[in-house]
Amino acid sequence: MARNTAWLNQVQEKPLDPAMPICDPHHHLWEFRHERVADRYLLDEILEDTNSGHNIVSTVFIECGAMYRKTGPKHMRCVGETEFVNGIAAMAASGLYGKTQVAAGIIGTADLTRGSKAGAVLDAQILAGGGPKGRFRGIRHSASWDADPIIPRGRLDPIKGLYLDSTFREGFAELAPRGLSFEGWCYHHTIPELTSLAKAFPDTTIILNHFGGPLGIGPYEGKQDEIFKTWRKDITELAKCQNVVAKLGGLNMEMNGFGWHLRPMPPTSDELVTAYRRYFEHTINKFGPDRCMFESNFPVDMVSCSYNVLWNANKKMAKGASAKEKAALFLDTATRVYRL
Amino acid sequence: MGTNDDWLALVTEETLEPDLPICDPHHHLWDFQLERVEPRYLIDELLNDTQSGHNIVSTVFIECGTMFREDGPEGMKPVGEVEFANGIAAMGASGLYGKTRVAAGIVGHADLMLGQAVGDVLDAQIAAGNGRFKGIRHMVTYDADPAVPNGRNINRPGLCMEPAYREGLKELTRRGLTFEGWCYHPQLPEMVDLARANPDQVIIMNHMAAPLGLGEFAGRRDEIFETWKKDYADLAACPNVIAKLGGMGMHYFGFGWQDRPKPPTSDELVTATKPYFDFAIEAFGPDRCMWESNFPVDKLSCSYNIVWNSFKKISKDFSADEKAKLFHDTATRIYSL
Repeated sequence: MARNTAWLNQVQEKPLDPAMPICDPHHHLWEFRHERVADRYLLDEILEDTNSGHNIVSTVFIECGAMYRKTGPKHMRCVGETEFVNGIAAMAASGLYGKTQVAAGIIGTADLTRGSKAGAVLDAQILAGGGPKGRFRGIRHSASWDADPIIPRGRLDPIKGLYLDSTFREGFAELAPRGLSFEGWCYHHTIPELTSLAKAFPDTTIILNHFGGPLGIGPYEGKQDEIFKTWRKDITELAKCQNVVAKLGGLNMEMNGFGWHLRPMPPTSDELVTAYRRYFEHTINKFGPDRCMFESNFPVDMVSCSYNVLWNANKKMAKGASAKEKAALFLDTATRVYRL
Repeated sequence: MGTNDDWLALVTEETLEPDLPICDPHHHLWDFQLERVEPRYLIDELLNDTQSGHNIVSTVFIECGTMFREDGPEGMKPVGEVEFANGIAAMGASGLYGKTRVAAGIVGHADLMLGQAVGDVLDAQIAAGNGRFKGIRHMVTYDADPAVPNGRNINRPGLCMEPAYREGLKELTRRGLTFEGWCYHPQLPEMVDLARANPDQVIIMNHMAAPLGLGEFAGRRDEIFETWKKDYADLAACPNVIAKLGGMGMHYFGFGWQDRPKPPTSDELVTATKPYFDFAIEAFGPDRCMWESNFPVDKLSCSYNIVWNSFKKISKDFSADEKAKLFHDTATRIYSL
């Protein structure tokens, strides 16, 4: 039970197009996260969401600093997260919990600022995910940096300009030979740095997380229209890199500044569509459905709306698309990119 | 939550020697096992037991046919169980759930009847365990008496005498993996034969080789005890065999605790089981013996706290060094934890 369940329950919607197969390519699993609305999000909890109306056939786990090993060399501790998730994936693959292949793909992390030495961690991650034929698909190393302390820098507290850093890039070069992908996560003002990284490594698939994090709190509060203009240009540039794929979602976080969680009632899917449409439309326009995938970013985005309402919003967003485009946006791009 | 929690709560005891470090080398983890008193036994449920008083520093997961893959080649399906257990082990190793290294060792299942081809399954299990996979169990528990339930997929006697099974076992030996022997007492001579034929294979005899006490074996405890002693001594004469001391809370043993108005106290358990355990420790020696909980199967008869209290009472006259072996060191050595 999440802390805001009663609040979320105030808005009930019928799931739209409930038979359409969906791969949710971005969610977390964790426990003891008291700063989140769901401090436990393990198999039972995600199934409650994925079974709440939409047809979620598979999911991809994204690293979140969960279950790091307590002991052993520091840089290897993150391998515990992959082992943990591979265990949950095995539970789902037993079929005992229903049809959803939870964590069919696993994205872990590795500290790329260790340069080429990061390769050993990547190898350990591949093994922890069950070896070359297993579930491990790539890593995320966040560059969520902002000068203002009100903007969360996350667990890693990255340096400014991480994606431009030469040692980081030395580590990044270890991904392609292993066929691993990279999740790019930064704030809107850093998108050009991700573009530079993508140009420097055309053979590495980069998946842009959460629209490149358009911020809307602290120094960015009330400046969403102005920021949108720059964001628009930067996304257009990024989309020119054929090795980049965009995840559509993750705007429900506090830092995006929509303030849904502060309202007496959570948003309806219509309200979400109205607020987010320009981000989705521009990104789909520039990347094309073959390089776009809807994502839930749960349970982080649960702070603002339920899983059902979120996917209803995504479906409303895709209303004008052809059947083939919809298949790409909801399933095929994700299963292709993550080789599920 | 167990289905017999209320009944178990009728007997509570203070934990004896609560600081003594224990490795529990035999327990399961599962979900949806509706025929058991704990249909769900995942990390929360196990920790409820391991944190109920005794100092459980590590555990070994033993296969129980759980989380087998739904799809893929038949022989590879048990690999899912190892992945699952390794996931729980990673949760334990995070330290977020306390000090117990849950499933620090993992014993899976592989069908030895595949013969040489089982090697591929074992290699996949080694990969899935990512360092924690120690060996397998392929039970052969079979008895012609319909009152005695046969093991999972076991439909005939003498399975471990068959050439394919023996050929499969060689793949285990080749990889330095352990083998859990699990049969009923009338099958002990077969296990002795297996142990003698494979002197380089470490064999861990589960649950005292189950001196049976139901069906045609009911009411013949003294007579069966004598047969069991003779065959069990033959097994102990094989230096490659290790004894797990426990499992006597299962209904096969015929003590019938589960049908009583109140569960047994540790003293009652001691009275009933001491002759068997004394004989085993005498025959194998503390270097080749390890106490085991066999939970949650044995939860049918008593709580985790009480079963370990009974083990401590039986071990009370041993030296500190011998106790360390019985409760911890033999297990960590054999499973290289």
